[in-house]
This record gives sequence, structure tokens and C-alpha cells, in this order.
Amino acid sequence: MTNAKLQRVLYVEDEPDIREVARFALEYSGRFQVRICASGDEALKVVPQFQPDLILMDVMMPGMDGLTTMDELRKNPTTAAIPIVFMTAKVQAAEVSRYLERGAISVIPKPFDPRTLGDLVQEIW
Amino acid sequence: MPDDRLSAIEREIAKLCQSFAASLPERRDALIAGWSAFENSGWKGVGADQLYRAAHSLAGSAATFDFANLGRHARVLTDHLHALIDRANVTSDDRTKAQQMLGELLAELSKEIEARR
Repeated sequence: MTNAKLQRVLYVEDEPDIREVARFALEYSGRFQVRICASGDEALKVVPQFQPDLILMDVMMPGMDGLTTMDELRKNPTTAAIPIVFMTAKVQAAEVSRYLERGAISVIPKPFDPRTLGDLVQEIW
Repeated sequence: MPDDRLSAIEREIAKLCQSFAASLPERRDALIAGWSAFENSGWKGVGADQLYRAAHSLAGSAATFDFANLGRHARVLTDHLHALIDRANVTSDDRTKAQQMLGELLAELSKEIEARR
């Protein structure tokens, strides 16, 4: 996708178990500085400060869902251009098309293998 | 990747899997509560959302923590509920099918919970 090095990754996920295993998997790959958010609302506060190179985000979250969070990030000039990848179990063809049409650059299906998540994220980049 | 690094990863993943396993009784309770709310809500609204979220959560996470069968059963229920929630009329056959899928998921959950006692 880009020649720039992928360093800062932010992951937005409401499920504590999934948050923890993804954080571990991404950090243990030794490639990324990882920041975690538990909700879309939290992400809207953290993203402008952390300025991630890439955002990984769940779609179905209580409160603000992933698609709405993406729309809100797009409205802010300081966060509008940050690429977003959805990590979701909602991966029927129509759903994936909708995410991509709305502006996500890719979709990682859940469940994922923590052993290969870092490689997968790097490949998408 | 060096073997010691790989085994450290496997140890950490095993710990996270144990933590997930400890959450299974709570997840079973959430499904049962969700079913009750689903029936009371007339298959629409908050109850449907509660049950769908509980099943969807398992569908998206169980296999990551080495509970592949659990994930499969949860996926079947999630897909069925997704179709029902979008439909104007839910038949008694739809309801029976959902209940059967939930029963199979709960049985799998109980099996995993018992295996860890």
C-alpha cells in the first residue's frame, strides 16, 4: 500500500479477551508500537494524539460502531487520511463490500490466529 | 523465529486461552439471558440485539482461543439470527430452528466448561 514503514498501530475492540490477544500478537511480532482502545468513543479521543499509521477496528461494538467511528475520524482533518482495516466476524460478501465502499482499506476476518496476525497486518500495509 | 521465542509466544497464548476458558460460564449465562430477552421482545429490538451480540462475540473469538467447535456453533446461530432480525415475519419454524441451534451451542459450552473443572 505504501513505502512508509508501518510503526504505530491502534486497535479498537470492545471484547477484552480479543483486545488482549491481539495486543500481545502485534507487540510480540516486534514490529509495531501498539495502542488499544475499548470503544469508538475512546478511539476518537486517542487517535488525534497517537496519530497511528494504521487503525485496526472491530465493526460491531456497543455505543459507536466501527463504521460510525470511521465516519467520525474522516470528518477530522488530522485523522481523515489514516487507513482503517476492519477486524470482524461479520464477513459476508455484502458486508465486506459495504466496509470497503465506506472507505476501509481491507478486512481481517475474525477469528484470527494470533501467531500470524502481525504478518497479516504487515502484508496489508 | 528462534525456538525460545516461539515457545514464549505459545506459553502466552496458552495463558490467554485459559483466561478465555474462564469466561465461558459467563458467556453461557449471557446467551440464556439473551434468549429470554429475544423471546420477550417479540424477535425485535433490544432482546434480539442482546442475543445476537452474545452469539456474535463467541463466533468471532472462540476459535482464536482454540475452541473451534464452539466458534462453529456460534457462527451457525449468528447467521440464522442475522437473517431473522432483518425479516418482517418470523415463523414458528424459524424460532424452533434458532432454539435448536442455541441448544447445540449451549451443549458445546457446557461440555467445555465441564472439561475444565
